[in-house]
Amino acid sequence: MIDLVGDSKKRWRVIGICLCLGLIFFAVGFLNGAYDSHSEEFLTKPGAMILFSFVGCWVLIILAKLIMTPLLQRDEDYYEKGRDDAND
Amino acid sequence: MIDFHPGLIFIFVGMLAALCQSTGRRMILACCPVLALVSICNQTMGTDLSFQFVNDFTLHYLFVDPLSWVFTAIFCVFGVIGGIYSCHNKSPLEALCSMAYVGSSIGVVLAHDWVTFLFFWELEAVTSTFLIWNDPRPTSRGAGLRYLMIHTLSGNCVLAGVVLKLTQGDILVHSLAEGPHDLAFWCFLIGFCVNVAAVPFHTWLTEGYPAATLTGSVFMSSFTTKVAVYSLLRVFGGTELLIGAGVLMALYGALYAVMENDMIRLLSYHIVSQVGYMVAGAGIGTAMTMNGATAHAVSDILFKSLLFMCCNALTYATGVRKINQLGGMAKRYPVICIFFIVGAFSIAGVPGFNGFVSKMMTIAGAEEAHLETVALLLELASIGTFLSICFKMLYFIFLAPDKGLAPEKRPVESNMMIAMAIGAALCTLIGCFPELTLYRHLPFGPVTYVPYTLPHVTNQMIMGFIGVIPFLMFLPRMEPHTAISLDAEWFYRRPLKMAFLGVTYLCFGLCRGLGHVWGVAVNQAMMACNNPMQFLDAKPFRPKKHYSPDNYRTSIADTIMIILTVLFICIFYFRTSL
Repeated sequence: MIDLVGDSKKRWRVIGICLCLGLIFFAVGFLNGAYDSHSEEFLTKPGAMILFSFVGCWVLIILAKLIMTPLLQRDEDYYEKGRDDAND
Repeated sequence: MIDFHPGLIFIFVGMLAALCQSTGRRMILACCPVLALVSICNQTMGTDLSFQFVNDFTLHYLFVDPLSWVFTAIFCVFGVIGGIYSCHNKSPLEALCSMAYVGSSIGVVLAHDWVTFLFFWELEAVTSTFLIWNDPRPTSRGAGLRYLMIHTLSGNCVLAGVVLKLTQGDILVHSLAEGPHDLAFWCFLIGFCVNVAAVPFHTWLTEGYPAATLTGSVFMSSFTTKVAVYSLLRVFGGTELLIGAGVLMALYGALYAVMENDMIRLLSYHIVSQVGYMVAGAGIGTAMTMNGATAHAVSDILFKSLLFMCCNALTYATGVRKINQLGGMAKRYPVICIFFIVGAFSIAGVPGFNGFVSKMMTIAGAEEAHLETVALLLELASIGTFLSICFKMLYFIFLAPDKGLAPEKRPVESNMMIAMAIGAALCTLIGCFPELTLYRHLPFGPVTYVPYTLPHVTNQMIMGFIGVIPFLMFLPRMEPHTAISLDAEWFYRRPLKMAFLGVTYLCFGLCRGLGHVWGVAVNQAMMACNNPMQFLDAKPFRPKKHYSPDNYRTSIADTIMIILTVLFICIFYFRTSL
């Protein structure tokens, strides 16, 4: 199995591979005219999807894990405290 | 056979399965749902079957048009898959409820008048509630009760709408999007929004599905919300209010899914998220987005049920539901891992799988309708899907090192594997050949969308490969905790519950106090009536410890007074007469 949490070297290697693959797909699209720098649609501009994916993923992670988790997460028996049927 | 109602076939199959013993039930559940699929494939467009009900009221119980056909067909397909997946079940009640649930969902879709629509709508709510209550966990009782309460709200809204429509003389189900925006319009809209799990009415889903039985939740993942999506497409297509609701659902579900630890609850949030695309598509109301919503409903039924089947198969084998207790499942269950990857790639919209050909159609439709912000927010929700299913679930459940907290208790049943294989095959088939399998059946005009273009394919691949980088950078803190996430259900499980209990205790105390006063008054009145002589006495209500006849005797003075009075009257009379 792949331990990417404990083995940070391996994790950074995987990050590098993913970055290369992402850039290869961008290059394939760019060289074949898939993008249009004059387009009105944001995501059809060259490199926009790379930026959007990277920033969007960080936005979701920060919102979910750094803001919502401490605000909204409670113990699993939060609603069942003091009830007879709490243990299922 | 040709004109037989596919929904009634499912209900009949459920009754038959409930009456049979285990081997017979297994055969019936695995084979008989195919009859419904054959039935809907043989229906011709425009079929409208009806019968006379009371007072010359005609019930149109089977109406086939392109929209109802495509939803009925996919429901029948999943009914077959679900029947195979659940046929090892020993509970006759669950067999009956699951098949009746499928049948009633089909009944809603094929109904052409409001009364039949309402009947099957309510039947769907009741049968699905029993799929939750059939689970032996104590928490399922409360979850089922709350699920039923919210669906009662939805059912009552639809009932009110139906009554208003019937009083106006509108008998047949038709579009209300054009107006008038009267009370019936809002009743139907609220009722449908509750069932479609629009935020903040979505908690019946995220609380109810994880509490259902392992096979029950697989059925539930595919029907209630999709029936509501069908209803929105049929009745509210083009209602702009739904665009915002859909975008909110897509993002809200994706965000909560990133936090979740329970596999089924995480997938339930993804139902909210994916249904958000369909609701937004229905709200935009162009042919492309309506077709996109229909196509995505078809795809969602297949890939979401596949993901539910994979996760429930793991829970069936190990007894573990929490992501942070799993790990290393790819080594122990490699075939389930492959099926899960197919489902995950499908839901994320990876080219070659069915999510790619349906989800992108709605987003492209939003761009075509010049709603670029909507399209961007739906793309952002799509990144959230990659994040929580393709990256988080796939890594922490299957690829991460095994923690040893989930030893195998029993092997996965062969029928479960067959059902997952069929689901995975259909996801791939539709993804590879969308024109042949899906697009030709879409109901809102011919499909002009071409999914396999270079920008579409490269953008999706970039989203996957670049989106995984922040996940990997943040990986040490991405593992979910053993905790629950508070959601809108907090409002009715805490403050509303407290208020309800407070009012109940207040009423109970008042009733008890008033009852006591009333009881004392009645008691004293009864005592007084039993012995009226007490009123002649000077002390009628004085408590008496012991019975004494002297209390009830008149005094000697009264007797002397009466004798003297009689004596004086006699003397006076006789003296005057003499």
